Amino acid sequence: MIFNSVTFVVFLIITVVLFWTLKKHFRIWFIFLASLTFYGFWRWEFLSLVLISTVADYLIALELGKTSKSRKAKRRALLFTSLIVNIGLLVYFKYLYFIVDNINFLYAVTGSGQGISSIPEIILPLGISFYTFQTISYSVDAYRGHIIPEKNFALYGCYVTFFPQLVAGPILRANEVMDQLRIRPKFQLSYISEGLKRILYGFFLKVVLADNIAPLVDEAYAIPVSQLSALDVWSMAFLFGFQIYFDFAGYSHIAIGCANLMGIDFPENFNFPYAARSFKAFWKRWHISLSSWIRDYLYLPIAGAKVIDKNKRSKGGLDTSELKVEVSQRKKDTSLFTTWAIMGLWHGANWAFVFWGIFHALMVYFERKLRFIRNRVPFFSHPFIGWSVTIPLAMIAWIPFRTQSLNATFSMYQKLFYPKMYTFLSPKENIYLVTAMLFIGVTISYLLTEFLVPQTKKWAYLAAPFNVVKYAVIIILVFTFFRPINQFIYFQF
Amino acid sequence: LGKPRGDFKVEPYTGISFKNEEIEHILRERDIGFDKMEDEALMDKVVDQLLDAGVVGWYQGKAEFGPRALGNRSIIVDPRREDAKALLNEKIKKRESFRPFAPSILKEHVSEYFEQVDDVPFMEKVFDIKPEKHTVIPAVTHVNGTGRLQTVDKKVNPRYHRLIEKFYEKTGVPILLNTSFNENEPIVNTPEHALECFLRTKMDMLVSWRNRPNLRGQFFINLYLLRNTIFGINAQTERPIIPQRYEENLLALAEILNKAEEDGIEVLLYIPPIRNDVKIPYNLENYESFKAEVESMTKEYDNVFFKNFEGIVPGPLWGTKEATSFLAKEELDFMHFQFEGHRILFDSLSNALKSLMK
Repeated sequence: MIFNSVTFVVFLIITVVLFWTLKKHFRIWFIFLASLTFYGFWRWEFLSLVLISTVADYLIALELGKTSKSRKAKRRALLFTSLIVNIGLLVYFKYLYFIVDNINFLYAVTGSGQGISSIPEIILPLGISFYTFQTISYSVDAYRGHIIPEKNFALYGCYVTFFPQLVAGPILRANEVMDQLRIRPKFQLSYISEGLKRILYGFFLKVVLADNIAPLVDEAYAIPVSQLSALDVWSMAFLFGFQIYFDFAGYSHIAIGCANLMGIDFPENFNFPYAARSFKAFWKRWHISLSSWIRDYLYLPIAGAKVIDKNKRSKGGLDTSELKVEVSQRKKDTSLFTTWAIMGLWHGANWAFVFWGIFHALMVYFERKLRFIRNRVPFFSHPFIGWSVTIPLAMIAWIPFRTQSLNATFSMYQKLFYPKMYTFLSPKENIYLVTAMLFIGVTISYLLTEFLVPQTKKWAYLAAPFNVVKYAVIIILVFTFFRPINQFIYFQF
Repeated sequence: LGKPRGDFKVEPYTGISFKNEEIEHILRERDIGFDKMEDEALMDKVVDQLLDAGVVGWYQGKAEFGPRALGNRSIIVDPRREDAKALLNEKIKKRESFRPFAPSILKEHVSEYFEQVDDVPFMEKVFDIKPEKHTVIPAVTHVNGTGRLQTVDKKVNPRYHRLIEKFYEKTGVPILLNTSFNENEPIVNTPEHALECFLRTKMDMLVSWRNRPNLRGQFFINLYLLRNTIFGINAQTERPIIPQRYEENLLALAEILNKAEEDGIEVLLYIPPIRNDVKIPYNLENYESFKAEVESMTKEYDNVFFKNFEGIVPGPLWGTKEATSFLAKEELDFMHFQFEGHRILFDSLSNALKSLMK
């Protein structure tokens, strides 16, 4: 089921009504089954994979809970079983082609042997990257002793498969939602109103903005690279940057809103990423649930740091300030690049994604190395300077994400360095216009939210009419544009 | 034959008809609210709606035979409104602005408005409208002062006659603008069909789920108008060449010429006329090189002949069209010229063809 379809709206209404009326035991089973139904609408056969991952980590975590801390070998064996099951699923369904391709490429280069013959066609199961990460985190948390494994299978099943987040996150931790699922709060009308607001806003981002930008992006990226100017490359980078932001943030808003309807709080996934003043800050604002997952389960372990059970919401990004263990700079850097390469690869089985990850890692690395300049010359620590360097680079980094081809990416990058390439334009003029408008619009909406909205708290009577107008416009536009023409971009990851 | 001619029965309404119950059933099936009214009350309401800037769909009795709507499957509008055309075009018919809409006039009043008097039940004649009436019924007066009228006879279509009478009682004008109940498609026939048309079209007060494609279209049209208004873009604004499109178009042209050569077809390739007394919306350098490129391309083929008709239609023969921005009223039309222009182009073409055939 896709969020921007009438089927989903009907499904959501039924589910929310039953959620608030059913008794506890039934409620949890109902949500579990509803979530499986939600997934099954795509392809019911692939429910088996969701269930394999879910059941495996349920059993492993329970066993981990029973095994005393002194039996290190057994605990490790259990953890590795979980990793093998989940990463095995991921490798088979997502990366097999990629691996075979690369092995064949090596054979071809070294000229030794035939390589591997073709493998059967494999369909990428929806959401596999998300739910496997979630079950891995569950077993790792149990291994680290940060959580007490849940005995109630349906409740744990809800945590993994809860439909708002099943196919594209936010990637939840057990300690963030399990207790919320366990005890249903007393019904409040504000759950519904807040949830609906979030959902509407998410639909606005998706069906009004992202879906209407999509044709422009497709048109621009269909132009042969040789015809593009540097100005086109910049515009296309920004335009796709906005499209993917609206698309994914829209999805996350809808997911969070759906959970709100049931009185459940999800962690935020986005916080004005394009207001970031450094790459480090960018990752505290973009896909926060993934970056914090990466930090806790990849970056810190690889760097050799011990992860402390904070039992509170992670802020995302690479924030290591709360760690007590000192890690050497070299280890940190190695871990940074390894982690971000893996993170790139997580998005898709393609070297272009790896490049994207390493691009980001490089930027974070430079930020660390160049910190001394900022400390000496106060001018460079001005937020505006940071922002105006970060955003164009972050946008340019999206190009491999869209082209999914390193060749195309590098020839587009080359153009940026030739002054002659700044003298002409290729696509239709609307592409530049829309890009400029979106840039201005996003910047203004950030400034308003950051600086003006806190002010209006004092004059609530001013905010009310503004909100009425805002939601009236949003409702009309969503009504007009609501249609399931495009998948969410992150569904393919 | 020495006997008075028998009364010829004027009855254009020979088509299919539907009972009220059937229509009600369709409306219920689709969950659309409706009121049932007595004729008099209904007509009062319809007239009020018309006076209030409304457009009304009028569906009754049997369907008309032939291409014109004569008051049984019609959309009717107040003919006194200057903006009726814009209203209709915006709401329903996306037709060209020079095409006039027709008046339905009570048979008894024809002489007050038209120079000639005759029975025109099928909208088959065009009469001159009296000059002093041009401003009274601008919506149905063609630019040349004529109107393609339909006279409405009480005996032939009593209800439609009564409706116009009602309108006359309230306004002193015995005329309604009448246009076919459709949206650039054949005249509506079944009630289901009428409803579909009604639902798809932005008629007053009805914003329905199925109307959304129109809303989307409207949204983008307004967005374009806004863009043009803000940036002062009009018909004369220079359009830059989009390199990819340009190349693709030339390739497509080459394909066509290749195919023609293969099939032994002779082709006359010509540069169409463009207005030459004002600034044109092309970059002149690009335009010149485009013409040169096309001409040199034709030289590669034995079966292709090239002509340049660029300047044959003089400026005054070109028209204007509705403006594409909020501020301007109209703008130059670089795509169409008037009848005389077509004649000139035709003459040039036929001369060129004749000389080719020799």
